[in-house]
Amino acid sequence: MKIKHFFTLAILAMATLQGMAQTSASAIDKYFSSYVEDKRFNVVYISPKLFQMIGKIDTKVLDMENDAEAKAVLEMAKDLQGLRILTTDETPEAFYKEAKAKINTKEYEVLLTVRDKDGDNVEFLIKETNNVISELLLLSSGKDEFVLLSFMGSLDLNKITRLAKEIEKK
Amino acid sequence: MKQTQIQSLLDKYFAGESSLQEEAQLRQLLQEENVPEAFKTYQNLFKFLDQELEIGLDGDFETRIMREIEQQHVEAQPKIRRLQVSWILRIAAVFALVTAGLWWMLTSNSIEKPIVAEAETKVIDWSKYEPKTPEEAYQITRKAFHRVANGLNEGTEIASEGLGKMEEMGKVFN
Repeated sequence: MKIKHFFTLAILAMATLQGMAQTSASAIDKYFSSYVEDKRFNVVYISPKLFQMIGKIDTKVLDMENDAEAKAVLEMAKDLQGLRILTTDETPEAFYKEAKAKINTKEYEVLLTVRDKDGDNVEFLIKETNNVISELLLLSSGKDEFVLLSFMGSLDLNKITRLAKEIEKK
Repeated sequence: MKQTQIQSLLDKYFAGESSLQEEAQLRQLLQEENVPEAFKTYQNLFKFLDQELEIGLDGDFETRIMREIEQQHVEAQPKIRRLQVSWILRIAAVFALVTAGLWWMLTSNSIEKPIVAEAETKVIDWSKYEPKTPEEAYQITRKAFHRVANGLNEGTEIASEGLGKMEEMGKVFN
């Protein structure tokens, strides 16, 4: 009987470990850490602290094209905890294929895939836990560039699409 | 006279009414050599009964019977052990289920990678990739957001165009 109890506890422990392990690691950490070290890639990271600072920028100081856009961006920034961007101009198509293959589709759900006649590819993926999107992943490849983008935070898809429309209303 | 005596004794015997004394007397009379013809069969009968009485237990009867008893006792023991085996099987079944569960959990991607990645996250030092100023960070965020917006809008536009065409086709069929 005691052995059975031990095993039940062990399973619960593993389950909580799984839950804990997934809190702060982005897709890039999990699947693309090799790209981060790769000299061919340009790597940028916006930390939660930086987002806070962005939120506090006086809008008049910024060199803005229009206020609506700034508002949209700042609005988005409120939900964000981290933004990671990887870009390279070397062999974009190859990287795109490779990156897509690395992602575990049990964790990340494909939201949208576009491939147009110019051979440009765009794919959006989301990681959803308990109806909250914790990560939005964007993969994009064109003739000149491969981009891998990860937004982390508590994201609301409706809000994102709404802001996306507003920002494009130029 | 003996004939009538024997006859009357026999009648009593078969009626179950003879005393032990009378039975002994009957036996003795039948054991005599000049038993009349009519009673020969009864003579054989009583001889047989007497022989049966002679049969006794021999010396090692006790040893033999004790041996038999002990064997049966030994055979009875395994039945108790069989109960213990079924308990072991139950525990083994639970253990197998638990192990299978753990194995499944460990081999399915969604768990393995995060636990491995936790170690990897510590390796990546993201702070070196941060922009120096919040303004720069803002610009980067803005551009990133534009990309997302473009991608989403393009995708949804293509989708709605496609849907529009489908609607038109639907009209044809309706």
